Amino acid sequence: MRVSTAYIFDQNLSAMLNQQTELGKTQLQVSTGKRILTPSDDPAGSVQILNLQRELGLSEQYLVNADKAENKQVIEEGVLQSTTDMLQRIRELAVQALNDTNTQNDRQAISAEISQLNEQLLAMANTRDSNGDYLFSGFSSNSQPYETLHGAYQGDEGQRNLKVGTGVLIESNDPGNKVFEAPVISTTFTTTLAPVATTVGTNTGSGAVAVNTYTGGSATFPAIDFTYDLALNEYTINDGVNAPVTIAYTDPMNVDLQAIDPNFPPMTVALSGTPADTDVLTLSNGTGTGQVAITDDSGVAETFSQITFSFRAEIIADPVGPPVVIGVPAQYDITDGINTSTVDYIDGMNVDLGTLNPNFPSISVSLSGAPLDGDVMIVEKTVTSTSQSMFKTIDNFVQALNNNTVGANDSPNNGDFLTNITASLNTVVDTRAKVGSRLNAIDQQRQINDGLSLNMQTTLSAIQDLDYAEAISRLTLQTTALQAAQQSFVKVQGLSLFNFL
Amino acid sequence: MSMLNIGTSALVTTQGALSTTSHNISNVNTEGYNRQRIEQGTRIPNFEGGYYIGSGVEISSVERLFDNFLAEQVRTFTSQEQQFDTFSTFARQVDDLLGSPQLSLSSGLEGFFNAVQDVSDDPTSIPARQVMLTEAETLTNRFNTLDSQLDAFNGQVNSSLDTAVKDINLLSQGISDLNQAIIEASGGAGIPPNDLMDQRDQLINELSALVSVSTLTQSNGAINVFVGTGQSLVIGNSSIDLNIVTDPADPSRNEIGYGPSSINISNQLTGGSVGGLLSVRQTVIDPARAEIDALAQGMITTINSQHIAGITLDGNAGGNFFEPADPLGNPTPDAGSIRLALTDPRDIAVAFPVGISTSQTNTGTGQIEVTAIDSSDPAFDATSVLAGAVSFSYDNTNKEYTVTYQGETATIAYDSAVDSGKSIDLSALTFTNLLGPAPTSPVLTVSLEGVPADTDQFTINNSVDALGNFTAVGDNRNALAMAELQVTKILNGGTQSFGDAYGILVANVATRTHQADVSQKTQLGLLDQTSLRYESVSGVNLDEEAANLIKFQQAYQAASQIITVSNTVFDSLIRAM
Repeated sequence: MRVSTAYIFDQNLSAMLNQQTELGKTQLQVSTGKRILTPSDDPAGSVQILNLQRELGLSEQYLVNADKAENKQVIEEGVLQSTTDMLQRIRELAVQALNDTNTQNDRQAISAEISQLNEQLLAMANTRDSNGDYLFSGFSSNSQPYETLHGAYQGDEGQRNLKVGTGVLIESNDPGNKVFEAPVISTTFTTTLAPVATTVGTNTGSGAVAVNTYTGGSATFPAIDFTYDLALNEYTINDGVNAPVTIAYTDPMNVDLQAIDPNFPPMTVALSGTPADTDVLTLSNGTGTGQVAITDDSGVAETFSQITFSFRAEIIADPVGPPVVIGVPAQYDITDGINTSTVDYIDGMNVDLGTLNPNFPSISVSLSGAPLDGDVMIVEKTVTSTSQSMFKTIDNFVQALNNNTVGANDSPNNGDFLTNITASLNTVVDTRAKVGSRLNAIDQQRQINDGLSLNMQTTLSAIQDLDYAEAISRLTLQTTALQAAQQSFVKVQGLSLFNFL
Repeated sequence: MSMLNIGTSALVTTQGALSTTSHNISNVNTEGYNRQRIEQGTRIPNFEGGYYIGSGVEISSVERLFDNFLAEQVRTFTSQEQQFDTFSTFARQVDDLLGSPQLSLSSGLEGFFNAVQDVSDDPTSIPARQVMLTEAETLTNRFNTLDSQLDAFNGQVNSSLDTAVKDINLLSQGISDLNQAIIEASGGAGIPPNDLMDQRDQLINELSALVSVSTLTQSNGAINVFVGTGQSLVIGNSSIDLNIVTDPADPSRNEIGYGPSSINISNQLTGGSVGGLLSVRQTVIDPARAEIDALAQGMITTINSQHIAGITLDGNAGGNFFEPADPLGNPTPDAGSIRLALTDPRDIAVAFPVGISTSQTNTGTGQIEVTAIDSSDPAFDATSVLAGAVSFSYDNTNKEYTVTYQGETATIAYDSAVDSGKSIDLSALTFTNLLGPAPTSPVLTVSLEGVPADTDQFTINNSVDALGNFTAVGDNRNALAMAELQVTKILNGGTQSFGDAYGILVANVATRTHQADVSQKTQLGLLDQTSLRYESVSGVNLDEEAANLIKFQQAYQAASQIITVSNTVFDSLIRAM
């Protein structure tokens, strides 16, 4: 086929230009190290690159967040570590101070140290981070959590979450009221002379009334008569003040008087036996002067709610009625509702209940005064629990030590304080455990993110980075081809018949 | 004398041949030149009684070596190659723009959302907040730049169309003029004026580079030229102008009108650079602008609605983060108008408008968290989301929370064994209506977790109290919610995140650019092959011409010898007299 001269020229020229373009592109690839120079070089690949870069960016941000979360947690961990140490020291000092051999001076000396530690604890709770934000005030970073030892918590319950992975939020703080506040218990003992049950002498049946519980303390009340009606099989309860009420009788039964009429005194009674018609049972205030007082409450933490002391007078002469043994001395029957024990009564005696019966709590009582036969003394333990800051708890104890009021009947009493400080310590330790597990979680998430980043970078590199071996050999090939084209162009263009004319 | 005549005819003919060869050689580089060749034949012989004696040679015609079929093919492929070339030139610019690391929205979005996360790490840090504002500004600048660049591309398309229409009109005019000249030169005798026809073919070729045309040769030698679906540009010696009309729906778009009535024929034009311009505008520039605008609108709407729900560092309600916020306002929110509404880093609403407190007496592990706030009500005010406290009390017997709000109650069934993590939209709760009208339910979504104990209490309150006091400056929940928008599938009916949508846009443009590149190369290959065939017929080969030169020179020398011989013969005759 004939070809035109101009066409040969144009074709050679455009072929060289094309080769130069390709060479230029390869050279740009080599100098940037990128395989894809514009998205159209590889549309699918470039979208993958965009997505991978986005994911990588996120992953790197998660690592930044994880570092910040970790920093905060490490600071908190340090504070909690010191707090734990101080609380333990305070507890040791408290145990030492509570030892009965201490004088008030000794206790004051110890209390000074505890007070010092308490101030440090308060400072711990008011720690700020590098931004000047309070660590333990929740979201209210500018509010000092505890301004004074007795001050209320000024922060809120906000917990700042940091995003350390896709859908993974890690709490970076603990609100102070969840760290420095713990339930404190306060134990009080009340001794009550229970109402006395008497039976009218003309009764012919064997019906009896006994007091189960009485929480009226030393308050007095009008005598209450229980009158039996055989025909209706019911008791009429009448205290002469409130309207009489009737209750159906079954043997035996327990009756909560206040459940029948709130105006009755706070007691539950047991009715039993077979009363005859018109038989009358009476409950009235005790008149004995017997006293039961707690002298040592080291067993305060043991589980019991009340201990009943029932007095029997010495039997001197054989009364009318069932036969009894003459010469039995005055005695207290002691029961906690399950275990029972009996002691001979000597005015002013001290009884260690734990020694009397190992099942009793380890508390000591002093028994004194002139109780009457049938008097029942009820010793009731009341435990109230509220939540308050450890600073307040400790400071209260410091005051008690200063005043040397850490005895059994003082409040707070010694057993309570140790229980309370242990509760505070537990709260701090629990928080430390949380911080530890968060640090673990951050570490794990960091490893996951690192792994993901590495994978993504590998993939990204495979997609966007240049295969240098291939590119360099391509560059060499293209250079050679261009040189060949240039040389042949000159040669071919030199060939003309006109040269020979 | 016949010998002298024959010699003369040979000289004249050979001179013609030498002239034609010289004409070919001299036009070797002339665009659109088709080589010429003389057709020579014997003259009418003299009848000498019993026989004919040849009377020499004559030029019967000068032929233009031209294959109309190949010429049409060259035009077709030129049109197509030009279309893809123009398309790819523009598409490549858009492609470079969207893929450029300095302008890419992808890295702009990443920078912004990373800054949001940094703020969520340290809500009270002013530097972190400042960085967030700066990154947001960078992002809006990128939107603005992309918009103005795409606008500039649109302007380039407009001005290119303008130039193309002017060129087309000039070419049509030229063709009609040449038609006239050719009709006159042919003079009805059908003798083709080769060089005029070359010029006309060249003009048609140039026209086909601008727009796809079809031609029809008339018997008088004129060629009629048509575009689109048969709109004539050239009829004989007259031409009809194209002109630029603006799209009434969008005055920023130039369209192509036909004739004095300027009927819009843009949709009917294909091929050439005009076809490329129209299709790149329709398939690349317009969708890219629409997508970037949609992205900007999505950013404005979603970021604003989350930001409005939050509380600033100074305890004020978060305002709009981006402007303009009103979709019906002027300017309308899009990539060109988006800008940052805040200037003070303290005005970034990082905190949630409500806080939760747990009763100190709770013994269970139950937790309640606010996960979302619906700020869509125009009257929404972040400083007073709740009209009063919302309190939750757990009833372990019935396994339900009793929610109390403004003295009215509602219940939420919650069994920790199966419901932990349960999400409840409080606005969907119906509060019992004991006293007067029921309160408007709180526009909060909460999640319930853990194992609450019986009578455990939780209370949700406004973060800003009735006196306007705000202490929860360390609250980062609104920033976390904003950061979450980076990966939330919001756009296109909840199927794409911002990054996804941008990635898809880049992919679409890249694919079209890539396709156009491939098509352009294919068409160029076809054009080359067809050109080769065309040139093999019509192109000048200098070697060939050199050979012809020698051939005709020798013929001329031989013819000269005829004259010499005839002279000698005549001398001999004279001398014999």
